[in-house]
Amino acid sequence: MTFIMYLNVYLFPLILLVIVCSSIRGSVIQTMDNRLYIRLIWSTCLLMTAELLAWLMDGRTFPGAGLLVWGMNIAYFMLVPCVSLAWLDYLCFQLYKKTLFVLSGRAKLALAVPLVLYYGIILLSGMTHLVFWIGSSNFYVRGRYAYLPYTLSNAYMLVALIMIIRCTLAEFLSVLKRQYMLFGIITVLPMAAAVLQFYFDHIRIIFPVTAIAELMLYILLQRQQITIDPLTGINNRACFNSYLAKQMEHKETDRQLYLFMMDMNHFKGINDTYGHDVGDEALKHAARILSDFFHRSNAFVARYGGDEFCVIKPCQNDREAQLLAEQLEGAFEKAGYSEQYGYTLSFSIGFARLKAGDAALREDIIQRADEMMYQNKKRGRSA
Amino acid sequence: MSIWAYLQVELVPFLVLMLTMYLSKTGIQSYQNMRRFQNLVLFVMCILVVDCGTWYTFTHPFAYRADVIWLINITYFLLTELIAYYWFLYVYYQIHNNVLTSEQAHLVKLSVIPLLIVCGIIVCSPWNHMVFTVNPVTQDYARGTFHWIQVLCGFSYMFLASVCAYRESRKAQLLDQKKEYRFLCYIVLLPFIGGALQLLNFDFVFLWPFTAASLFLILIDLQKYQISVDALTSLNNRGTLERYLQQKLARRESGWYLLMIDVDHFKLINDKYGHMEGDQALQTVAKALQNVFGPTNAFISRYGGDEFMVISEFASDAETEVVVERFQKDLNGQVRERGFPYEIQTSAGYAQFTDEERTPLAKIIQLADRNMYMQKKAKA
Repeated sequence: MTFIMYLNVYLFPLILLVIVCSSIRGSVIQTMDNRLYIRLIWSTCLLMTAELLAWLMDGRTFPGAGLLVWGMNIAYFMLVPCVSLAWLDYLCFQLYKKTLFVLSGRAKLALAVPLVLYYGIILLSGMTHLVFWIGSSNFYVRGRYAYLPYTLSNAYMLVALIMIIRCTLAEFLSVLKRQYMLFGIITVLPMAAAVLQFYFDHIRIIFPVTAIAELMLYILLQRQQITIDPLTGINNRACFNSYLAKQMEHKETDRQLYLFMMDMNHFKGINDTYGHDVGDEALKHAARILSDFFHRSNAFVARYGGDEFCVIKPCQNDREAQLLAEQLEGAFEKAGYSEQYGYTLSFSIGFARLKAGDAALREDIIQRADEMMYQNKKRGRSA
Repeated sequence: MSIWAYLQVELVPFLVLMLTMYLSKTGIQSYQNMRRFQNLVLFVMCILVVDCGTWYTFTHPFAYRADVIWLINITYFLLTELIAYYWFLYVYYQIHNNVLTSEQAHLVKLSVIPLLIVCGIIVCSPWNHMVFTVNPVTQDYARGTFHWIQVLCGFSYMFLASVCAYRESRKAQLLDQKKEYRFLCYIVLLPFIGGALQLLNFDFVFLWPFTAASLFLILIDLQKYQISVDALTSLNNRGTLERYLQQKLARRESGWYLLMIDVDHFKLINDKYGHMEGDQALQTVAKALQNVFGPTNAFISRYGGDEFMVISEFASDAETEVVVERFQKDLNGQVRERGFPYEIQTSAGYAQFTDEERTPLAKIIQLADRNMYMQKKAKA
């Protein structure tokens, strides 16, 4: 493998990372979240640059070249576990809203001791020849324990993976669960690449794949901002619109879908009496009850806007839909009481059938569900 | 370079393109223009594969080598031209928001002519030897005397796309739109640089990987645009507003006005005519806001629900009042034009930010808010 070859492989991910990174820095106010992500990207970029330079110097014989080759290779090997540590730190923040620095002393020690030992080994490579050494005429030679750097970095990734799995199991909001699962899949990619690269030495995929995985993380979080309502954590209206449009495109007719629209009763009262904060709490509370109620059923739950929520769910016929609406009202009666403020959440619910493949406009269906909801609301008020 | 090395160079961009394709197919907004983008991605994926094939045929002897070289190079050049053309189409439709005037549609139809001519020349290469040729004896590929035709054609389409994007970016009113168009204009540099590097050294493989990178970045930029824009009204959303205000404060700009506009009795419209009508009312307000405040380089945003916020540099309180009046007039006109069964009345309140007083941001918003409610009360 020549230097040009490395350049061909590495320049592409490097350019992508640098451009994405600069666009994040330019447009967003720096939050901890972004700072950790940028650190992750920079460590990857540095690592790839170090390896490129190491190969540029490899086998050169001008005076001082030997020192440069040593320096570059040591820099490279010292950076390898840094990338996975930065990865671990970033994910830790995503999952627990905490960085690694606030961990307990014992956990910090468990992470730091292997790193310090490894750095000792790398710095003493000139004597020990364990991981690598630079042979005559300045060529890089693999040592007996060449797998050490990749094992260490994979160990850190494994810690991240275990964290993700634990969070996935503990989470009950389906949207977040899905997001954590995707975190997990993305984390496995660089690990697999490291194993592959170790067995097939002539392919250099570990860092390009790491770069892709980092970009995927970025996109995943970007996606989340587009589709998730930040207050309640369930799907937002834009996501609802696209889901509805996709469902209406389906031509199959054996599946009956129903759209439920629901409007919180007396939300304005809660807002005016207790203030916006309590109003927000009430909305979150309602979203939680909805997610619980439709847990593991193939329903699509979204916040339509303000105090309105909507659900798309398959039902056999109008009777079943009516029954479901009543059950839902029951669920709110049971779980909608707030001990702190003494209000009970209740909803007016309306529904309409979605005819698959029918040319009926999206607007019409929402309108129909809307009308029924308002009639229910009126009836509720007069009762 | 061995074929394995070559494969590896193309593999990563190929994976990135697969990711791009997946993202564009699962995106929440299905633009019509997304089709063109997806075709573009598909063509670049194909050319990455063909490029590998070309490399193999150049360096390995096998039966029917000459025929394969003819075929694979014709495919390669055709794909190159198609990519350039679709790039142009995608950018052109994107900067016109997918709606073309009849004149523009005509222009797009005409623009296919050079593509057809060059493609004809490429397909007939075995007879005219213009773009490239294969030596019948040594079975080696050689450039033709008119090789530059295909380079020029592809280059022109992409360059033209950038020129159009640049012109539109100067015309655009919304800040984010301006940014998006400018991005579309400059992103073409990436494939150009890749191509130039590849010309410098035959061992570099940069042209198509860099093109793949630019497609990926275009998609990310689209997503970023979606994050910053309110889906219903296409105005800036609240998050963007907050970032904009923070930037303004950080730069210590002063003298600007914060204008808050609220639709009167919006809940009544919503309850009486349904959500669809309510949405249309909001869209109409957004349109009027853009008509009146757009040309003044103001920052227009939807603050939430039926509240809008405009940040602009008016000369005085009197001027602000005049512009607000103009806005209500424009809105009335829109309502009449669309034949709504109700009127949309708005209340507005404003406050000026002066650096000397170092007013905190929350206080300005509060002040504008209070002024607005005073107006609302005065009406009732």
